[in-house]
Amino acid sequence: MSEPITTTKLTVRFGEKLAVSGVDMDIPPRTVTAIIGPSGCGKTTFLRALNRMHDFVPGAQVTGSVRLGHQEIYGGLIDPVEVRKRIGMVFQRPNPFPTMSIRGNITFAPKRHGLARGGELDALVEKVLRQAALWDEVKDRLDEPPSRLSGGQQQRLCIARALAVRPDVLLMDEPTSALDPIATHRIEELIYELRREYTIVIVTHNMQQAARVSDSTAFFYMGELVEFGETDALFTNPSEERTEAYITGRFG
Amino acid sequence: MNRPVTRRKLWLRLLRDRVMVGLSVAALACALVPLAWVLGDVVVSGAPGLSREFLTQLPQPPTRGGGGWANAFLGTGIVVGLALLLGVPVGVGAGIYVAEFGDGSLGRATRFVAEVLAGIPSIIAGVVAYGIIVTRMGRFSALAGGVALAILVVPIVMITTEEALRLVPRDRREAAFALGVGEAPTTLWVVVPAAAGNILTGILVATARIAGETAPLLFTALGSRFWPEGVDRPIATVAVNIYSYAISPFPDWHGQARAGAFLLLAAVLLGNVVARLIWARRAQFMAGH
Repeated sequence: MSEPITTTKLTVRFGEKLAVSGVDMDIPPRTVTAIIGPSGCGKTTFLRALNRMHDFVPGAQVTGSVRLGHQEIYGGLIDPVEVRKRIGMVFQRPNPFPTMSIRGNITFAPKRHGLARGGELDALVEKVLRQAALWDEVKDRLDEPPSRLSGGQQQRLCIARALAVRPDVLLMDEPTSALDPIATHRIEELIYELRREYTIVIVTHNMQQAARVSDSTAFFYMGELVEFGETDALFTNPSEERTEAYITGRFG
Repeated sequence: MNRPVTRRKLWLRLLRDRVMVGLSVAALACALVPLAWVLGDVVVSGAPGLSREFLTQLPQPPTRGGGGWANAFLGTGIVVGLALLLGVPVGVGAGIYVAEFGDGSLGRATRFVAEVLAGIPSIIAGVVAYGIIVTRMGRFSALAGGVALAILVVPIVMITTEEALRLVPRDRREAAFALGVGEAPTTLWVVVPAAAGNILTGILVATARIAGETAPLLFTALGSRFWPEGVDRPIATVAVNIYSYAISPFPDWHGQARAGAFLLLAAVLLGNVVARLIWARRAQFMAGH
């Protein structure tokens, strides 16, 4: 039941500063879309606009439109909390809740939302930990604190935690930038698996990663969407000169 | 070419280093000596007066000897307990409001009032409680003492709660928001638990502070020679007892004042240690040991 995301003239300002300007993008369901571009190009800002995370930033102003399926998520009657239940997010640094156990991290939001109770919760914990390829490593230590896990395991726990809310879309903001190559590899495999069920948008500063995991790639530069197309085509035969300059390493 | 460090400069630097270290050690001594002196004096002069009778019996008239402060120990427990019961929820609640939702003018005003309140002399808290409780009830009471001390608890707990919540990193909140959890439940289930250790420290500081407060109790809780008879009656407290026994002309009462001071100090220290030990076990869980 994954649905496409469509942005129309999506613009984000922080006070006077224009961070993302007029982005039109159609993200098809059950695909991985990578967003690449040099630091400060607005890729993370764009990503966070997709699930209304800018609502908490003083001075941030979002205009234009983001639709999930046919629903406008910036519509006047839309509850941003409901939007975030359907569009989950994984952050740059693993951020499990330190006061909760591994199990507690996963069950926290489903309990709040009334999605599962009692034995269903145990089944849910196992299901999402298996989806996140973490079950075998933690099944005997679900009551331990997440701080006992490695960085890569913590990040997979965060992915499992996001999946437990049963979102349609998973946004990932440089999910492997704090991880070593082996942990990075495991997360990339996981992303590849997850796209069967979820629409995934991943911001990455690593072009090899974009090439490995994504179906389509968007190149952002100075707050604008320069080029958006199939990953293979964009990397082998970019149609914009700035895209080519960036992916061949001439700037950024 | 590197110019060699001359002997004179090296000597000068070493000297300056020694002088600075010497000054900091001297400053440390200035801070520690009075503290050790007070602690030592309270222990040396107070410990000999301790006895089973002192801990379990009611006071006796002066010069007859014997008797104890059992009613005052119980009384301090009751008054401090009342103050925490009234003051901690208000302080923690206001701290949460100011830290999480208080960016508007009401939040700024609340913070300003708390800072002013934290700085007022404690006797003023007693005057306020006298005005709003004692004059209305027509008598001194444990409740009035509890209210007076609660007025002192609120700003301390509120300010430490606010600071504790502000120390919780933003990404913890965002993690919860991104799961579709609203702001209020995020505060309650994610931010407050992460800050609980520092909030507890604030409550301990407030407890230690009010356990020894005398001035606000003089004309609220007053004092009593009997067992506590209810929150609407005057009640004996250790701090007021220390004061009234110490200014009395009777040598045996002076000894009891010293013993009471020793016990008050020991109880505050012990309470702190126990609370911290309990907390350390939770902190260990979070650190994964």
